[in-house]
Formats: sequence, structure tokens, C-alpha cells
Amino acid sequence: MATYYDIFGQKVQYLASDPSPVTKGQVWYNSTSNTLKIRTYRNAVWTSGATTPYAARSTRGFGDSKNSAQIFGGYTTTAVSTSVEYDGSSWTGTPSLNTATYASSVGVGVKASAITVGGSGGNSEEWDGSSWSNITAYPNNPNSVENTGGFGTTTAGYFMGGSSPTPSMPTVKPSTIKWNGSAWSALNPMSIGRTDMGSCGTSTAAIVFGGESGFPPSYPGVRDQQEDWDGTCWTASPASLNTPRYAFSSCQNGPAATAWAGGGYTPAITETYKSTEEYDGTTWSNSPATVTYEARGGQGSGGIQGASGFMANGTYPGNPTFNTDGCSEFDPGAMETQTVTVS
Amino acid sequence: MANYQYCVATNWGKGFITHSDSSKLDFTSFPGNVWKVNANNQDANRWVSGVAGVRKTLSEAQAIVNAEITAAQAEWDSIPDDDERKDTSSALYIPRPEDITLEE
Repeated sequence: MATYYDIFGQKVQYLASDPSPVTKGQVWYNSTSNTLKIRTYRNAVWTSGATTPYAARSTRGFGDSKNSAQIFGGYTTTAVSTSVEYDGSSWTGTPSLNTATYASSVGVGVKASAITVGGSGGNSEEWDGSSWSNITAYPNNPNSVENTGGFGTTTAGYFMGGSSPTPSMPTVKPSTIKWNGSAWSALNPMSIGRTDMGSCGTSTAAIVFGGESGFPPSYPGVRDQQEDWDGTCWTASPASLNTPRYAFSSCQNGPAATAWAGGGYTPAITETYKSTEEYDGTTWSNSPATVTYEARGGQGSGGIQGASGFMANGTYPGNPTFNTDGCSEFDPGAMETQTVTVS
Repeated sequence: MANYQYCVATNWGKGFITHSDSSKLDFTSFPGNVWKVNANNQDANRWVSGVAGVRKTLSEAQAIVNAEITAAQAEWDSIPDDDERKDTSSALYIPRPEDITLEE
């Protein structure tokens, strides 16, 4: 049988403590703990989460992780004001939105403090960790901009794009609007008007990706393009999704060095809606992780890049109402040190 | 030799597909509570048993999915043409459920 030396031409390092930094594939023996260790990549996975208390689509969400998340609003057979939070084990009701809505913006912020704008209800509301309260209306009202993207915080929240539901003049917007905690201001727009996109980052380094810019009858403009925000302007990124998609789940907070996008609608509406992609700051790569329940868009989702996330609810073709109460939890791929065991 | 096996199992939520399951296996769900997992795989066999899954042949699973999709398509077709759910400019728009062909 070939030895490690035969294969790699060197012996396993014998060290009193774990080395730093370590690189992918590095193997060493820790003589203090008497363990053989390897630095390797742990693939991303989706796992089943607890079903939500209400089946709906066009729900929105936010959260710190798969163990600290919240979804709100959505469409059951009408717009609802439901708001529920998740601790990684079960969903619990919270005080409702002041205005029932679906297809609002993503929840911008963290579990303890977030804001959402627009949607069918046309209202703008802030979550303070215990209840929702109205804030100054989003300036694009009365267009009731729907499916707006966003990132940031409740005192530096950025909202991009979205669509107007006005049937006579459907419009997909490229706008960028900032909330500073008390007032709205317009910033430089994106290059591509889009709605139902992914977006995440900080006030000086953020990205938008995917979404759709099409019009009836065939949604020709499903996007794979990414744009990068530097605090002042959006510029076209060399990175792009492998599969154009919209209405997918994604992370929303933290630095834009990593991101993920799962599910959603794709142009062909094939099984790719269950696929996931991960961004390493340079490139989007297809992930081996597959969404664990049957949903095709309109999910509430959230999470922090590099940490875990979640998606819940959405459309389900096997239900007469086309709604689902499913939930998936996401752990992104990451480098980790594993201890080699023999059994 | 088939690459996948099929079963019918109800997703009860937390714990239905665990981190360990997802790390080892490829899961795909379909209408009708149909699940596709790896074939010829002990971990997959244990998962099917653990979730009280009822194994189905490819043709049986396809029939279940077909019935669900046909019903969903009929439901979609019955929606009036002027309903928002058929208006591609509406946030409530739902594409007509498409046929699904399961793979061996």
C-alpha cells in the first residue's frame, strides 16, 4: 500500500500546535493532542427547517443566521400582515405588520432591527426587535414599488430597483434610494433596471445580482449580471451568475466578499430553480447544495454572508393555492480543519 | 443501472433532511411528496427508511408527479385570463406548472 510519502514526496508535519496560516490540503500531526489533521473544504448544504405557520408566496425575510430569522407578509389568498420569527427549531408569531403586504422589499438590517418598503401595501415599516412601526413612506410611492432589493442597516439602508405594478405602464426601475434613519435620498442608479434580484453588502462595498428586467409576455430579461457598489456608483462586474434567475433566496448582510443565491425562477423554469450558487468575491460557482423543499420563488430569505441563512415559503405547483409553508436552512461552503479518525 | 431511487415521504420539517444527510446525499423533491435520492447507496437507503418513505419505481413516481402536475395545470388553466396570477407584470404572476420528466 502506498504511503503518504510515496504519494506526496514528503512526510506529514509533526507539530506541537496547529500551524497558522494553513492552506487547503495541508496535513499535519498535532503531537499535543495526538491527532492527525487536514485543512479541507466543507461543501455547502441545505437542510430541512421547521415548516412555517402559514403557507404563502411573495413573503419577505431577514435574519442573522438560520437560527435567528424572521419572515413577514406574503400572499395567501390575499395580502397578509403576518410576521413570524425562527430560532432554528420552531416559528413563533410576533406582532404583525401595520399594513398587509406582499412582494415588498427584502428586510434590510439584522434580526433585531430591520426595515422593509413598498410591496402591494405601499407602506414602509421598521422592526425594532419587538414590533413594527411605520416610517416615512418610500419616495417611489404611490407607485408601490414591488420586489425591491436592498442591503445595509436601519440607519444606512439602501434599496434598489423594483417594479411598478401599474398595469398600463409596467416599469422596472434602476434607482438606488438610501434611508439614513430619518429621511430618504436618491443616489446613483444601477446600470440595469431590475426587480426580484439578490443584493447584499455594506454601504461601501455591495453587490446586486440576478433579477429580471423583462416585460410581458415572456420575461425575456432574466438576469445573470452582477453590479458592484463602491459607496458612490454601481459598475458592471466581471462576475455573473451561472444561471440567470430571479425571485431567489439569498443572504443580505455583511461584506460582499461572499454571497449565495438559491432557488428562484430561471428562464426555462427547469429544475435549476433548486440549484444554489456561491460567490467568493470574484466568481460565482455552482454549489452541490440543493434546496430541500419544492418552492420556486417568492420566498422569504436572509442571512449573513459567510454565515448560515434560510429560505421559507414560496410558490409550490403541487398546491391548489400555489403556496408552500416549507423552510430550508443553508450552511455555506467553508474551509475547515478536520481531525482524521479511524473507525 | 439506475442512478437514483424514488420514494414518497412527507417532509415534516426540521430533521427531515439533516446536515449529515445533505452532506452525503443528493436530494430533489417533486410534487406529490416524491423524493429523488441516490441509488445503490446505504446512506440513501437508511434515509428512506428513517423518514418512513414508501419506495416507488421510476414509472410509479412519474405517475404520481404527472397526476400532481396535471391537477396543478388544470387549476392554473381555470384561472381567468384577466386574473393577476396570469399577468406577467404582476407580482402575483405564476408561470403555468410545467411537465416534469424524472430521470433514471
